[in-house]
Amino acid sequence: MRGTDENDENWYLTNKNQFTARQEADSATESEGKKKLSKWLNKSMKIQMTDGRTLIGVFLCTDRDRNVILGSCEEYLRPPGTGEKEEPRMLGLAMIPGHHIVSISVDKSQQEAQDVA
Amino acid sequence: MGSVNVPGGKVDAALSGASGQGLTGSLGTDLSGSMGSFSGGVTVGPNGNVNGNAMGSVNVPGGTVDASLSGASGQGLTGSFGTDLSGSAGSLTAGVTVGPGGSFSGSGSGSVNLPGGGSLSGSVSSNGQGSIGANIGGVNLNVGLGGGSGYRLRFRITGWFRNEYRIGKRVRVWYTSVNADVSTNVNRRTKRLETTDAKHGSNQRCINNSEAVPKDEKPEYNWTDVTEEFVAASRDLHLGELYHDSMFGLFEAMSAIEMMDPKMDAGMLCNQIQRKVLNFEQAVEAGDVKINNLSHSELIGVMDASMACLVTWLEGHSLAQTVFTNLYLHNPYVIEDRSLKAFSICMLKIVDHIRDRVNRAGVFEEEDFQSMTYGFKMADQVTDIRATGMLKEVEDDMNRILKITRSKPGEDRDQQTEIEHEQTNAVYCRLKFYRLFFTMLLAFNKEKCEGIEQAQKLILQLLDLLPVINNTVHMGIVPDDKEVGKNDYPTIMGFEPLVNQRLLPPTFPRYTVIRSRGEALYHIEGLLHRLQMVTTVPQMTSFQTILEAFKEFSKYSPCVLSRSILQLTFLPQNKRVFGKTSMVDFLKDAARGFAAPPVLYQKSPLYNNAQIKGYVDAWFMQAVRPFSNLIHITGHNRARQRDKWGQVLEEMSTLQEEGDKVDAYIHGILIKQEPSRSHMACLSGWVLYHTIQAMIQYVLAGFELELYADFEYHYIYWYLYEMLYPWLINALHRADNFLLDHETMADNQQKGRSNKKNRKKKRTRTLNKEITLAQAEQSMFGGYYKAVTGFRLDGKMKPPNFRFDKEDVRYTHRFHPFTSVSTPPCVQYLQYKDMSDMNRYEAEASALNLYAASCKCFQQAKQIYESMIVHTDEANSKELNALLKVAKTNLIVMRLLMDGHKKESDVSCYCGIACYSRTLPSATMDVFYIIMHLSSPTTLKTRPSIAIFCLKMMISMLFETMIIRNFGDRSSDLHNGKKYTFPISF
Repeated sequence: MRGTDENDENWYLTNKNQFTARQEADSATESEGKKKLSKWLNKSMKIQMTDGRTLIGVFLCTDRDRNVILGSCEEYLRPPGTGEKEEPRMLGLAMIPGHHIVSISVDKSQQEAQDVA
Repeated sequence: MGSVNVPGGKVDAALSGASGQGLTGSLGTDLSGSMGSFSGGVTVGPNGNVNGNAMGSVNVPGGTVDASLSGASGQGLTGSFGTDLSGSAGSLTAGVTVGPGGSFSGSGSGSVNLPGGGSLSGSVSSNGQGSIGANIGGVNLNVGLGGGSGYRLRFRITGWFRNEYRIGKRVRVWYTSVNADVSTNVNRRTKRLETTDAKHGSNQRCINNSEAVPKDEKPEYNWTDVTEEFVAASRDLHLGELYHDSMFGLFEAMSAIEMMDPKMDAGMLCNQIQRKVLNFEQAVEAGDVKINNLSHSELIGVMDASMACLVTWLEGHSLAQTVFTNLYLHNPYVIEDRSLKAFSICMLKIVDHIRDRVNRAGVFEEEDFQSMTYGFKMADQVTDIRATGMLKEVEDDMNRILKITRSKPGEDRDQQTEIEHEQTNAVYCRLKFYRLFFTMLLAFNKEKCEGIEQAQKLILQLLDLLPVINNTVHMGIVPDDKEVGKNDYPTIMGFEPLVNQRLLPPTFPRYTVIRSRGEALYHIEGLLHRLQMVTTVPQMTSFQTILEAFKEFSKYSPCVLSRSILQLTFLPQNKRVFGKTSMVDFLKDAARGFAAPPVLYQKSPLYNNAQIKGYVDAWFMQAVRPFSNLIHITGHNRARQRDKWGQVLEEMSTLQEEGDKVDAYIHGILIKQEPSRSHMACLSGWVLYHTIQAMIQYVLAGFELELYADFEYHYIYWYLYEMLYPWLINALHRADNFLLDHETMADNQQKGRSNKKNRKKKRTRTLNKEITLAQAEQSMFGGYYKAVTGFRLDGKMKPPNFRFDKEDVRYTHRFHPFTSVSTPPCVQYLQYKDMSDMNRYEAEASALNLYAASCKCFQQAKQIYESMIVHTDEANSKELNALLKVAKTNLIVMRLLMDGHKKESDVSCYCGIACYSRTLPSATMDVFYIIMHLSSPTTLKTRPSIAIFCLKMMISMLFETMIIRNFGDRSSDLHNGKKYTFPISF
């Protein structure tokens, strides 16, 4: 995503008005996909990366190429729950490039809590 | 409240305004000294706004700070709390409250430094955004959030802490022991998330080697794989569109670290290592690490490798990646081998002591030194005396073996004994070295510099031991010859580079390359020599000489430890000079030495005037901080000093203005008693002198840091030549007159007793030397200025085609810090343009005229230096000779230019440096001198890049033109400056 960051910014600057207009239109007729994303936003998310590490953090942001930004992110060398317990490393805010993502999981317990509320 | 200084007192300050008004102000408070407390508050009514620092800077070692910034609805608050509670335990409570619809920008607590433990609590409550940034070592951090939503919290956390995160009644607690940037968005939706968390009670984490904190208790997750769904959902987004919450934007996204990018992802590399990494206990169990019966060569290897780690740490790497890759240090108590145990404990003690010293001196930045301990224990159960005692015991044992194995006359030793003797001696010397090293560090820490003599002796002993250690390095075990990775490298028994990988901070990876054993010893030798210099400092008496000595010391780019020890020797913890004299008395002495203010002499009638005394004492109290700062600045690393010189100017300027008022008051009284004498600008003149010196340092540091582009030289040189040096000379002249006045007074008082001869005696105290030196330097800069202007007129130095900036933008930026000083006034760009306009003075300014003028300046400088060399001693004449050489060579170039040699030149080039390269090599070399005008040869030493560049240029020129002129002596000069080689390639 870093490569496109600059483009993003330019895109923002040049198409700001257009963008806002489209966003407004979007929110009126929000697509199925976006609804799903908004459901997951700010929830715990577990992402496995191509090199075998697992990251757990709060889902904050994504884009078309499913580059994901997790907040308060923790890094596990092995998937949690398998074998011996492992100390996570605190990463904070982390961006995982889409092509390095193997699998994504969300926390169902939170989902339920939200549904109840 | 401009500035309040209450050692051991209590300050209570409030700034409040009614509705519809704006408040601007700052509360700056210095509660240094002892325990004190401060509470300050700023309250603004509705529609008002506060702008400024609620608490400019608060310094409360061991005290309590209570500050709040609050405003009613519909207003904006901007402010910052900067608090330094360094020293010992303290606590800070800072609160920012903003009414609905208001906003807060700035930081709740700009920077809070609590290295010694303590507690910090801050709160932000508003409907807008706020952030609290805190840097805490081993303390509690409580952040309370009031009602509303939309906060963003950002913490930088180092060390151990208990983190409590509160929204309304819901509390979330977690423990961390990381160096982390945590940023959390809080909004309505996350509030619900917190509810879920609160259900689990607390969410605690801790690292493996602490018993104090309860073990892992993670929230239970119920994961569901949504990969397919997610991929499909993200396809709905437009190209370039980011899907995020309203509180999260591009700006936040920028600060995320990118995973799987080797430049940013430290974890990526350690993950690639396939072998199993064992911690100390596991390694001992597996038999990989011996804790008993270590052979001599193993001992030597472990000790030398530890030293290499220590040195690497001192060069700015983290403890976890250096010293604590040594597994033995994780728990020295289980080691059974007595020598190794004693050594390990002493090593921990040394590390702990160094950390404490460096922290206290506070002259490091993150690039110099990492003080984080990652929760490692530093053998605090063992006292310093016990630690050295343990070493002494094993040393004695070794000594006994040495006696047995020593060769006796008439007896042939077998080879076995001989080797054993040599190895035992090597171990013995090392043990002794570490014991003496630790004792030496402790000696520097003794009160009132009482340990300096002992330290001096110890340093000599240590220097004697070093060659023995150096010659026996090869006896130690060495790592296997394996492939070296960036993070993983082969080590000897007991070392594991990857054991602390999980403690790595989430910053981008820094690769720690452990120094080789030889390099480490070389570093230690340098350290010992620098410390030897430190021991000479307590003999210095005046502020001026000490400041000069500190500046000189800094030119060698000393390591952080020697810098810290130097600072602490001068101003130890009790804040008395060398632990003895109070800073106020010391500064009074300095002022007497500079301008002999009548008010500071007992014989003067002013001395006993209670009111004057009160004013003067209060003023000197105020002077303590800026003047300590001057000394402190010289302790920082070279690159950081420039900024600090710029920052200190504001304080100096305030002090100078206050001094002016005090002077004026005293003058009013003095003139009635002694009409012939003056007190105008006597105290403030002394401050002015130091202010200008700081300004000169600031400008010169820019040369050293290679900040200025060559097309900027003309105004830099102009500022030095036309502004700073003339002001400096002026300040010195005034002071010199005060000194003269003082001596005539003293003579007159003595006249009754003394005979006529005495009247003709030479003045005992004068600033003549300083004045001539400043004049010489002014001439030099005049020479450079005129030469550069000549080049510009000649078209040899072309101003670039500015596209994005302008000259006045650059100019303003270069001299920006000077705007905070009222005397000397800052020259604005337009003023500069006006003042430096050539046509003002001459009908026609030509390059030739300028070269001639430049020539004159260098001639003048040359004469002054020559006359000074005659009168100075050996030590100073070296520097003067170097300066003289620069002046002379520049003089020659300017003469050549004046005679019109340039006409042969057909190559116009990008700057003055190369403009004569084709035709006139020697002139080019001299132009090098102009550009590298920085006066002292030490500068040349510290800037190998330039020296190499010059040398390369010269050689390539010689190659082209085959003219060897003036080459020999100058190139050897450059060679002597620095021991390096460079590849000569044509």
